Amino acid sequence: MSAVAGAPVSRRELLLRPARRTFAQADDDARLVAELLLLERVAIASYDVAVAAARALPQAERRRRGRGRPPLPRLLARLRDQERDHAEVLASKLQELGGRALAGPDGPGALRRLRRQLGLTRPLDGLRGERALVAFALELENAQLRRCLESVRDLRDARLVELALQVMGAEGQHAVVLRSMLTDAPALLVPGAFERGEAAVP
Amino acid sequence: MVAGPTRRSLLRGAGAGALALPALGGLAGCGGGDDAVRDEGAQLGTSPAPVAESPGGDADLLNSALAAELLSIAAYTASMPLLDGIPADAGRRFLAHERAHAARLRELIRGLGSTPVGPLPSYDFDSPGNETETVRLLQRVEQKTVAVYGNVVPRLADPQLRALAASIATAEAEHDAALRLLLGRWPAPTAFVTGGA
Repeated sequence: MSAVAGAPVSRRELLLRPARRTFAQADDDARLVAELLLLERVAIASYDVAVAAARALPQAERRRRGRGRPPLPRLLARLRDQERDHAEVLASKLQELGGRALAGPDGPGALRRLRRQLGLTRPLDGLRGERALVAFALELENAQLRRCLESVRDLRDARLVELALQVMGAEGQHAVVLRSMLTDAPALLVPGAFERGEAAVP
Repeated sequence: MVAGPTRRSLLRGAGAGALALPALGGLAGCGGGDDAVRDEGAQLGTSPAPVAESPGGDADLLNSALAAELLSIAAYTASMPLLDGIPADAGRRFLAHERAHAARLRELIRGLGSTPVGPLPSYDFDSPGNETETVRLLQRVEQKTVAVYGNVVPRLADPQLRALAASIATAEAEHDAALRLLLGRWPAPTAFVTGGA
């Protein structure tokens, strides 16, 4: 029952309010961390599919690389491994907050369903050719950038904001790695002064 | 300058920004390479102490970010004569980004009723001997800027300002990655981008 404006508030209620507010904030933060974690898990599972598809590419295409860049299967695997690092830390933060992880992609069907729910439209089947694979991964990174941006805005705990910002920086760098597979033009590697996860595939 | 400017004089020029960075002198010592940067991952979002609010509020925090942007503008402006081809394209593009960041930060600071910091009369950067060293210097400046935002963003009280600053910080992390590529290095060396603070 909510208090009516002007009605007397009990001393007990006054004492409990700050604690209730703190718990409510922690609940909100736990929900946001759980959502970030879910997207990381979907990214990991999606990268697994992409790495397998990259390994099936013809040798010449698989081994094409630029300065500082490994062949495509290894490059995608490196990005996936960093997503794993993110997921590990987010899972531990979620546990500290007393939150519960959302059901993750525990099979191909669940992965497809979750990708649809998260607005990821590029199909898991038919990942043929370097450009299709890079565009698939860029869609993932953009989705993560948008989610991180929302988390930085909405999280209450400054240490969680800091974590979301650090993850966002890494997702931005992943996007640069992926764009560099398609172009060397600096204007296209970092297409905008403000990263909001909305850049098109070059 | 009439008689051919030296690299040092070029890199001293372009006065631009009061520096709230933990000193550009630190750049000389942050050389490191990718292995050093990789170690940042160990810190990953686990600050040893709770993040404190700024006593000066959001305007002061944004001024710290603006000071870092002004430093970046000075570094890119001074470096442009030393760059050619793709590195020069990158320099021009990223300089335009830094100017856009500075302009937005100034607007926001004024909107909060405060005065934006101005540029310093000059900066004393390292004196790079060639294009590669110049790109390396710019990459370190970007890294330091990321570190500044890493301190600023979590302390901002206004959620919309946090989001705006995060969108800038991530663009800086992307500049860092693109410059690493120009140096032939792996552009995303750590899963948690801290700027090596």
